[in-house]
Amino acid sequence: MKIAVSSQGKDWQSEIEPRFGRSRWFILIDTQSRAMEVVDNGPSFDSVQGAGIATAKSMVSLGVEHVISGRVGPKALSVLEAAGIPVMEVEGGTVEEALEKFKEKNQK
Amino acid sequence: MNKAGEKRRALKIAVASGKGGTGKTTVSTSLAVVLAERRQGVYYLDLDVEEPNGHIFLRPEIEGSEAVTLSVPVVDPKLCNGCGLCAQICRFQAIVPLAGGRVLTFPELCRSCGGCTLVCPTGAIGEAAHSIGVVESGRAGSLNFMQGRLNVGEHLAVPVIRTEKQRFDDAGGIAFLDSPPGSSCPVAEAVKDADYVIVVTEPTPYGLNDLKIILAMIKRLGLPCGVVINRSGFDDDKVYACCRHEGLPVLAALPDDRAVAEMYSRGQLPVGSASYRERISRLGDAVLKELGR
Repeated sequence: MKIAVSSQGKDWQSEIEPRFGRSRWFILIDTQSRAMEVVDNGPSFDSVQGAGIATAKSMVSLGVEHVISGRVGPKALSVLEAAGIPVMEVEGGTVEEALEKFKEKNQK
Repeated sequence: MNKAGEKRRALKIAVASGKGGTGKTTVSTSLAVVLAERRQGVYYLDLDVEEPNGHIFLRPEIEGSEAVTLSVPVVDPKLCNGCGLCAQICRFQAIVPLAGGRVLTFPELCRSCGGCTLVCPTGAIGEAAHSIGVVESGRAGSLNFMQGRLNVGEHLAVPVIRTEKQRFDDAGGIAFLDSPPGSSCPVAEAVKDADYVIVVTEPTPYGLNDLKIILAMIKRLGLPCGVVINRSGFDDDKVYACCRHEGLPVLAALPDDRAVAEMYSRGQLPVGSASYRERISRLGDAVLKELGR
């Protein structure tokens, strides 16, 4: 499964970015191949309005199947919901810690 | 004196400020009330549609109310082929096509440019009216009253301001246009066709900084203007110097007065105080004199 985590930096140890639409980076992880990709959300991050919507559209076009972030705003959420992409919200911690939480949650 | 057959137009006096909270509403409502006692055909238009507050002091009886609407896209999912051209042309993320012909629209982000409707190859996009606010009219005694209000959650003040001015039955008299604070698009829309702009400032560093900004904007618009120093008695000299430098008159200096603040805090117009009323009356005369009336 392809998971996207909003991040303040470009690696596993980076702090989660609490804001979805204004997150500068996304760490994309393929849970099967364990491959990691860093995505620059710059164009959406910089937009005057609709940053969350633009970011959600990116997730769709990148084939993301699950989003992990601090908080996803209502407009961005409606796009993700319509595209069938679930969201897990976490409070603080690193990208690695968020993935651990995701694994725990989805093993039940 | 109008030529025979020429439609009589109201004299439009906008009241603006650079910094917010300097006293636009206090001054514009006071002027409107005092002048309405002396003559017919005086209007007060509250153009600060994001937070109209003139009504607090004027307590008008509202007689008419009409919605302000913008055109927003409506998509027929059966006709949509998922090409995504609508999202490509939209600069505001207001239309989001997803798989399976499902298209999300966000009317509160839409600027009504009509681009998506134009580029859609299948004619799947139509238009619907989206209400963004309201314009109300009525009377406060002999004073004619209008106000516009932008709905909470909407972000486009300019169309409401423009509509309010369009709906103003301009048939002569004097209209005071209580403008939004600052010097951005809504302010430009409010003042741009005024015959005169009264700029209300306060004699503080922030007041002076923002005064220079609004004066530059008014100069760009080519409108005659004058300055009122509200709550004077602090750093007035710098305001006088600025006005001298710009070649603009200081029309009045209204002193910082606790009695005025007390009346204001009770939602009362300070023209209840005889000395304040006299100052406002003289300010009105000064403005009319600037306009050769």
